[in-house]
Amino acid sequence: MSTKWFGAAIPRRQDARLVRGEGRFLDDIVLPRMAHVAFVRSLHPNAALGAIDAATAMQVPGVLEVVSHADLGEAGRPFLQLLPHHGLASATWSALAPGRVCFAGEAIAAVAAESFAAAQLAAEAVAVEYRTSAPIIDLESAQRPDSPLVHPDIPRNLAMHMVEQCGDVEAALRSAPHRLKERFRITRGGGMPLEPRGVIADYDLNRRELTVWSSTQEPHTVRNTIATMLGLQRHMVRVIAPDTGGGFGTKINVYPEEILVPWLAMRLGRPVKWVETRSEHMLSATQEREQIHDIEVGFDESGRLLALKNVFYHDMGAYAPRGGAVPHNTSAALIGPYRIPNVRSEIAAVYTNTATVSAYRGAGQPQGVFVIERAMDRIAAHLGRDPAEVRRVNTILSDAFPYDTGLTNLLGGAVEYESGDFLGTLDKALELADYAGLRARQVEARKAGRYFGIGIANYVELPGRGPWAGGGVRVEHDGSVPVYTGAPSQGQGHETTMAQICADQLGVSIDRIKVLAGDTALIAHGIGTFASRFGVLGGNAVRLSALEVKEKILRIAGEMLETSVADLEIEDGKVSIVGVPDKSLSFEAVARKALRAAGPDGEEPGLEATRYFKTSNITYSNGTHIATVEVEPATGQVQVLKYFLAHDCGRVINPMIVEGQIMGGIACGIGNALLEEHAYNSEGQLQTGSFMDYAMPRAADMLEIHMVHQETPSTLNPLGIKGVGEAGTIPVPAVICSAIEDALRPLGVKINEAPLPPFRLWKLIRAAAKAA
Amino acid sequence: MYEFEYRRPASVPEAVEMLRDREGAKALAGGMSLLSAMKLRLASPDVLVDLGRIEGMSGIRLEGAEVRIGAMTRHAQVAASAEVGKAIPALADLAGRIGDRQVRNRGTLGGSLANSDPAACYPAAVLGLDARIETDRRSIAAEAFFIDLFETALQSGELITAVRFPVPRSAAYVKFHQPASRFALVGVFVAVTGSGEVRVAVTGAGPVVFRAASIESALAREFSAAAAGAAAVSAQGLNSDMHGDADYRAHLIPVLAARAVAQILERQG
Repeated sequence: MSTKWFGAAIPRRQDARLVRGEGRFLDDIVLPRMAHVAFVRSLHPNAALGAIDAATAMQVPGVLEVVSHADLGEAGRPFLQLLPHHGLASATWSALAPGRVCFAGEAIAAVAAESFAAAQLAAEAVAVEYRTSAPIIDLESAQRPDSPLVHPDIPRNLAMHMVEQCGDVEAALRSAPHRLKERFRITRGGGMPLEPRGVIADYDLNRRELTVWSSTQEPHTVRNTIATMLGLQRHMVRVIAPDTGGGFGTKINVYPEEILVPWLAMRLGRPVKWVETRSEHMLSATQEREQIHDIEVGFDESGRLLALKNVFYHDMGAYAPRGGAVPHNTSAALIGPYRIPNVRSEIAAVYTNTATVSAYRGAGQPQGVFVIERAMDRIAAHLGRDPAEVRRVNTILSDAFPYDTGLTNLLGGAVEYESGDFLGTLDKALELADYAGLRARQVEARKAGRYFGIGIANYVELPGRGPWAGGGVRVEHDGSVPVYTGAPSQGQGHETTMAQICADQLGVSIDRIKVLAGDTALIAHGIGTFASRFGVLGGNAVRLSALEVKEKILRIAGEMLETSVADLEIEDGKVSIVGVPDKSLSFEAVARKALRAAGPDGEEPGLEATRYFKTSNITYSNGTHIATVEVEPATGQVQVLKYFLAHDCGRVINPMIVEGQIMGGIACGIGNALLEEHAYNSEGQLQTGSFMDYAMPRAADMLEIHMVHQETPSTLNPLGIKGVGEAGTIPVPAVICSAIEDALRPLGVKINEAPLPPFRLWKLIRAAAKAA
Repeated sequence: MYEFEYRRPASVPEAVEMLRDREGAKALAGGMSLLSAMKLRLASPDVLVDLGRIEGMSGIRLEGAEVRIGAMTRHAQVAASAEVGKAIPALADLAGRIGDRQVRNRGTLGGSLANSDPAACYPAAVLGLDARIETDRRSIAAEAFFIDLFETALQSGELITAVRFPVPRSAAYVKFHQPASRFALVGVFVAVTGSGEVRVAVTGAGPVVFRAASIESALAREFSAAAAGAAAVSAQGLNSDMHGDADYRAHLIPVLAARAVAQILERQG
């Protein structure tokens, strides 16, 4: 295979239409006779529902229907558990709240009307009778025997209790020369796509066909769930994800609204649209990150870790649509690039009366990295050693791969790093940052009374999660090449990267290739775009399909040119005999031949293949981030000054896209480190219902990022790709907090939590001053 | 948003008439707060009286030792005004840092003052500079204008027409952002008036803009950043929310006042 296109920094194909405002998003779709939906959402976090009175609402002009759970029949049963985890006490949501609500914001009733304004007005007029109970919000007390219950049938609110271990932690801790104990806390935030969620459904009664548009990362999963919940055959349901204004994990789940809106369309016999308001997004879309970790580490004089014991609480929120995926990821990400012979990781995942927790860019991994990296800094401080050196003595060496960490991933397999050069990224990042120079600068800054800090964090990402993805390739009779897949792009750039892979494998220019994605009609099966997986799995599926098509092209061309396939080569859309470039056939000619009945014996018509790439494992990317900050102790304000990183995501399909993914990831990470926080009060009411209180990073919070790519091919797929979508986000809270603690070392401030908006950091500084 | 009637008067008397006419009528003076509240269904006026087309309600004039700014003057106009930039650079600077570009091009001085948001920037300048608020019927001193949270001395249907800012010897405004809204978590306006009086007005920290007496007297004794920074401000009655409790706000007031004083002294070189 030539690599003319793979590895090239080709501008993303979707950007022109998106930056000109010419994308076609869900709310741009308008169907004739379309009805609009507004939801009645619970005001209380924990309540049994009494009468739901819609009499007044039905009087509002334009109202078509008001429905609650009692109207739904079979469609109202709880969703199936998507990831039935061993030992999981599963609680899944329903299309509308079934007799009780588990968080403030849960949908209780839906109003369909001729306009959204009428639907909204009527929704306010629906009277709901609540019998409220005390909510459980605090995840630490959720497990206590006297705690209120989120789900009456799940004792102690315990969704999942899991222990992962290797070696003998207790013995290793007992004999370790040094031990440290710490408690770390990461607070809840949420994905904030520019475009909120939305669904349109249109049912053709005569054809018995349901078409659904959804702003989703997983159209096939939405299709499968709709078919199951509404009693339809899968082939009767088509789900399309149009241009999507961001996902970040917030759109991976099949939400209640994605069942309710199609159900309403079938009931009303007309198209129905629902577009989430920002307030609804804040209240009812999934959130993530809240965890409390109690860790103990044992280490020797050089800082080498001998044992790591970690017990953590994970907040599941109200429901578990995807089992225990997030806390399991935290556990798997905990040991990062380090050799730790004795590990014990215990998870207690609890339900609380808050919005459901599910994956948000990084999906549990930022927390795991935060914990181990804060521990590395503490070990360094305890021993008076350089934090980079303590990391170095613990790093897995390049000759140790494949390296079995002794832990399991959420698919049940071993967390086994297939390949890597972990010291490579550490050294490259230190060099890029001029680490020694930074330390010298710090000495000067401290002399001048300034609080300048250097943070460092390593990570191993768990991208490319199986089990499979599909991608089809076709050569049309005019020589054009559609590539098709189910997984939509929310900014990842499938339109470009899949074309690059196909172009090289097939031997055509990228200009002939058009990538179609995000429609269940394109391909029978799909899983979706999440967990930094599609480049790895979809890319390799497209490779398989392109190779199969290429073989057929060569067979047909061989007959046409009366020569052996071994003597043929393909370049730039032409098949020619090696050494006789003037004797060649265009793709068009081969494609026409393939479609004619008079094609070669035994060949079926057409040039087309749809293959699936399957893997039982996860690939492992890694990297090292370094940041410098200056802290203003008088206000608690942190300024991130410079940012350096070296990362390795295996072979890079498109460096420009990888850089974009990393930079966007860092923006998200800066939010997680310094700004973004969803807060509930003790009554279970969200305090951050709008961007007036939920702080997002803005353009001015971004900074110049210096990065180097290191390419250690994955050994788990022929293209050697590892995945990168979350790599930018995962280590950022760790590296920024590392830098803040380093900056405030003269004041003795310990950073055990994220995020750190100014007020919270100021409180830590003040507490340290009082203690001193 | 609920249904409402939209009206667009051509003169101040016509606007006052329309506002008096109907109980649920509300003046629209840019709408940067009101429209958001309506979209969130927190406000539901029956009638919106849009002041945007009334001639003579916007504009900036230097009148002797005062800068007169029409109530419907946009923040961006104040920020870009050569007169304001020359006479009261701190006011132009404040206006240029309100909200974002869109807000500065729609929001107005009069709208901001009539709303009296506890975290708005303009009230700090009005109180700090001892400005006078002119309405369709009278002239109100800054001290008497701001009453409480979203409450001013304006009577029902009374319209601000202009604000007269006395030109100070020097002034500076320092704002510490609430991280999400970027309103002032605390904003401190320090002015040395034409007669040499030191005034320190604080926004964001309390339910309504107020003067920090302890800092004013410290600065009257010694006009230095250190003096401002060392003054104690009580947390009593100050705002508390997830972005800062009363102690944090009280702590920030002298910190920011010191920075404002430093700016003034630096400019005087």
